[in-house]
Amino acid sequence: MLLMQYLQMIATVIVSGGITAKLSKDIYKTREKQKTRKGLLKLNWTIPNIANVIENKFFR
Amino acid sequence: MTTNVIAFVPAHNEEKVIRSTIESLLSQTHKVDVVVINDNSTDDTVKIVRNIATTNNHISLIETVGNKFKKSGALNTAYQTIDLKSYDYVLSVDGDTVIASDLVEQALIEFQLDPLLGAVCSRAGVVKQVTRGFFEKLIYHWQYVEYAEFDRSRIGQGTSIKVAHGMCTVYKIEAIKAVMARRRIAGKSDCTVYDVHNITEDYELTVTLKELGYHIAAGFGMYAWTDVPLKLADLWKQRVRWLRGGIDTLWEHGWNRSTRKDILNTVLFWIMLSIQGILLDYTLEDIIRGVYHLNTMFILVMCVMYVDCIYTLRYVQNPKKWDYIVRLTFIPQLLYAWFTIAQLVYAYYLFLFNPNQEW
Repeated sequence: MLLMQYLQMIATVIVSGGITAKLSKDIYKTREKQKTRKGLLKLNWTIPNIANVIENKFFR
Repeated sequence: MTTNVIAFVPAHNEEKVIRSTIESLLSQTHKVDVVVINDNSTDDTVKIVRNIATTNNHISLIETVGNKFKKSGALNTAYQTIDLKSYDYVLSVDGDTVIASDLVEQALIEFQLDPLLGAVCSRAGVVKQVTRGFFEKLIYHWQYVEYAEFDRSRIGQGTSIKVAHGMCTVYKIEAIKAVMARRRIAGKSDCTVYDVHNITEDYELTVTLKELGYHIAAGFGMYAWTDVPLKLADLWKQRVRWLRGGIDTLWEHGWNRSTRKDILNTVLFWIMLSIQGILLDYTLEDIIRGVYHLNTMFILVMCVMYVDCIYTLRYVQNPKKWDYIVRLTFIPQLLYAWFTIAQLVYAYYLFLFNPNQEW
């Protein structure tokens, strides 16, 4: 039982940590790429994009 | 001074798409010379290429003779036949791939920005395909989103991407010549540029270029689209080939600066798979005994995986309803992940017990 708890803990830390690190890195690198190479990387949703949609929908 | 670019298009029975591939090459904003390498086609590929060549002097045709090494053998034939002196870059594009009209222009910008860049690959896109039935549709959209996942990971990898894919990559001639010299020194006389003994020639070439000190990147303004297998058996075969070739490449090149990350990922994969196996065993035992209850750690892992799974949708080109369904409902994605794990395990089995590589 104790072994299972330890294994669960290790698996949770490795998987969650690994995915979170990968996700953060991808978000950071994507933002960096979008800043340095403006207009090159076209993505489906960006924060300014969502802001525009909200503005158009609710404030006009 | 104009930059001269030559495109090599290996083709094996591509009568359905070769015309579109060539037209997309001929309509480039930066003009390219096109060489189609016909590799033992039994359909009308040659006829179509000859037909186009009669009206356009930028296109020529080479035919392989007795080539046993499929795509890598066909491409090596082109490198042995064509005099590259007057060219600065080689674009390698599959016979079933269509490219955007500014792809070469975008690639040249990437090379200007990074003098150490040896190769730059396109974004990974999937052409629109007709699917029959629910299952083919599911397989198509699994891959449609997965290709976007490849793009996503390449952004994170910067100037040292894992693989400059064979589907569409532009190489600097200087880098290609360095590879040729290395093959000669290593005594690999049958491997002009591509290692014919490796079934994932693009990954092997990427590793070799990185070992030679070149940067390898993805051009995010470079769009190309290819077709994907719609049958599960074909998809399995393709992916096992990719994965098996990857293992062979790492084995052949050993531990070095260019391979260590991939080797560590492999080790991590096996550790995680073992832990998952043990946990699954305990869980099944608890279920059978009727004492199982969901624990918070499992829910946490699933939540993180779900967020990550959804985030990939950001990179999908023109996402459709089905792309959202595949990811938002999560279950199809989990099944696909297990399918991928099974491929990798089988690839290792082949690596250990079946030394003969099959394309």
